[in-house]
Formats: sequence, structure tokens, C-alpha cells
Amino acid sequence: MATTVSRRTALRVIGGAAAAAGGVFAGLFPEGQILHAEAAGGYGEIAQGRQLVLRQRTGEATRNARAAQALARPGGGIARRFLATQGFGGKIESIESADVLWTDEELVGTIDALLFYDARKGKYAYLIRQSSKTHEVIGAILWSAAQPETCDVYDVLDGRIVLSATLTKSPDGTITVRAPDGRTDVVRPRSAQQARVPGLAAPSMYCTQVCTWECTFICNWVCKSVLVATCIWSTICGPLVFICAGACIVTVIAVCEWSCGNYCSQSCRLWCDVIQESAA
Amino acid sequence: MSELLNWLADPEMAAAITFAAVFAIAGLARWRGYDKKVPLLRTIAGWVPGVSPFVIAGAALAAIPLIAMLKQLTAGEAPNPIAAAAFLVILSAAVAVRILTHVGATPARLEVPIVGALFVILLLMTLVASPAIRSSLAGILFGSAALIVGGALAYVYARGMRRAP
Repeated sequence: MATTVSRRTALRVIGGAAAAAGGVFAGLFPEGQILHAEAAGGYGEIAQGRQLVLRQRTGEATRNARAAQALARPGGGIARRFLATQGFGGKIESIESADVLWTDEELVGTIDALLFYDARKGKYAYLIRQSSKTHEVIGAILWSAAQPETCDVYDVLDGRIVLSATLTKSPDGTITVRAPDGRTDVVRPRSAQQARVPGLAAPSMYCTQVCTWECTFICNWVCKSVLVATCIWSTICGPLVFICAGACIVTVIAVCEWSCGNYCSQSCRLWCDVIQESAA
Repeated sequence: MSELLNWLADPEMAAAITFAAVFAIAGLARWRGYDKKVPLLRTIAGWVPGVSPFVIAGAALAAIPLIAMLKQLTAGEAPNPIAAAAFLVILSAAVAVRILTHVGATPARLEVPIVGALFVILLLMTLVASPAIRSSLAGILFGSAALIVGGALAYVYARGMRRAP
């Protein structure tokens, strides 16, 4: 089935997806941002059954280079100067960088978050840059250590930094979004069932989920039950056998978890792609 | 409640919990003497000779927070296809060795050293394949575990060989 996606729809979805990933990455307002991404029309057309994956960049040189790039952008300079006026004149506390991809490895965009801390006021700030092939959003998020459930979100628009919204997360997961003009929007938390993103190739997405669950569970069991036999060496610890055996078993479990996760994410993608191609 | 359900729906957590539950039941059966009537429970209770099934169950439960930390540490890491293929080969070899030993096709004294060596290789492979583990405290722990397990297995095997007639 041929599907035409307008440029405006594509931009809206990619922007929404990047924002969603940014929200997840910052860990501040995942529900609200994901809802915005899904609410954006045409998500299913762009997603085509794929899911967003956040691949964190752990290399220090990469993160430093990307942080420098974010600050070198005109919007980055505006956001940095704004943060300096808010008391965040010191050094960057940490840098987190990630690539946002679809599950088939197609790049959606990048996210870089630079954390600042004002020790005198006990306040934190993120300078966030989200970019896609055609779009760039730079903004800042400010919150205090005393009230981590509330944050102010700023965006750089037309060379100025403006308050976009104040977000407050309730203990039940409800997020209240208050715009500067006083308008308030309440976003209720979603269940895991509702969180599933519909798409044209939804069966393929469920295939990956189900396959990953089954594969990981079975692989874990096989791996642990086979390798745990290695821990027979712990009997040389004599009366402390439970300490040696405990440490050995925990190591077996940890290595099986990582190996099975890695193996199943590979094998399920291949397996479900075969099913999708056969069904097409 | 939904968070708890989501947590339990995680296959890794579910595997760890059921693993702990099965060995705990086997431990209880051995303690109360039921394992004499149920061969399956007897097999599970004696899965690692010399190590109580309660220790295995306790260690599996103790590993749950570590699993969560490991997941957080490696979140977003790209899957490594070479490590995935190598893991499949290693696990298949380990399963084959255990099956062949239990049907009597290979000498029993070779089982633990071979499976142990495969486990050490798997530990080292994890270190090589995961940049996040390699550059963290978990990397030091995995490396140390590989050395300790390798050394201990060599010692146990050598001692066993000396005692052999």
C-alpha cells in the first residue's frame, strides 16, 4: 500500500519524536512528551510499526565534542547566557548524549543534555539540544533539588529564550502542564497497554516484543541453569561456601542477563523482519 | 501497582524470580524429605553438588537489584552481533557438554572444567563487547570474577586430578 506523507507531517512527527526521546532522556516528563509525540498526526505513517530507541553515547570525547557543538550554535549561546543569569555560571556538571533511532537503525535525531548545578540555591538546569535532519530545538529545563517534581521548560524561539511551560508531576504520575498565559493541561499517566504505539506494521512490533520476552526468559533459564554448575568450585571455600557460591551465582546471573539481552535483541529483530517480509 | 506489574513483566526480572522460586521449592522439598519421592525436585536440589539450593535461591534474589543496575548501565547500548553469535556458540557448547556428560558420552571429570572455561570466556567477551561495562566498576568486577573463577576451577581440577587413582 503506497502512503504519501506530507513534509509538514514528517517534520511534526520527527520533532515530536525527538521531544519524546528528550523527555525520556531527561527523565523529567516522559509521559507528557510521549503523548505529544503520539498526538502528532501521522505518527503511524512515519513509524511504520517501528519503535523509538535511545542509544546513549558513553564515550567522553564524543560527549564533549557534542556539548561543544551545542554551545556553539546560536541557540546554544542564548540558552547558556540565560542560564548564567539564573545562577548557573559555573562549569558543566555532566554531559549526556544520545542518538534517537527507529528500531531498524534509521536515525531520527540526536539529543545532548548539559547539566548545570547551582550549589548556593540547590538548583539544577539542563541545556538541551535536540536535532534531526531538518530541525533543531534548543531549550533549558530548570528545577530545584527541594522540588524535583516541578520544572520550568524554556525554548529558544526567534533569538529569544521564552518560558514554554511549567510542568508538575503528581505522585500518581499525572502531569500538569501550565502555560505562561495561565492555560492548564492535565496529562494522565498511561498504562503499559496504552503506551503501545499503533502503526501500519503493528504485528511486526508485537512480534519483536513477544519474541524478546520469550527469548530472554528462555535464554536466561538455559544459560543460568547450565553455567551455575560452574559454581561447584565454591566448595573449596569450606564453611564460607555460601559466600563464594553466592558471588559466583550472582556473576552467572549478571553475565547471562547481558548476553541474553544482547542475543535476543539481535535474533528477534532478524526473526521478525523475516516474518514481516514474508507477510508483505 | 502498575509499576509493579511492569516490573514483573520484565523478562529478566521474571526469569530471576522464577529461578529463585524453583530452587527455593527444591530446597524446601529436600529439607522436608519430599525430594525422595519426586525425582525432578531431587535433581534440582542437587543441581550444584555441595551448594544448598537455598543459597542459589538467595543469590538469585540478591542479583535482582544488580540486574536493574546493569540494565541502567547498559541502557541504549547498541547490540553487538559478534557477541550475540559468540554467545550462541558458547551456550550451545555448554549445553552439549552437559547433555553428553549426563548420557555418559564424555567423562564426568571434564564437564565442570569445560563449562567453567566457557563461562570465563563469556565473562571476558562481555567485558570486550560492552563499552559501558568495560568503563565502569562492573568491568572490574567482571574481570576479577573471570580470574577468580578460572583460578578456582584450575585448582579444583588439579586437586581432583592428583587424587585420582
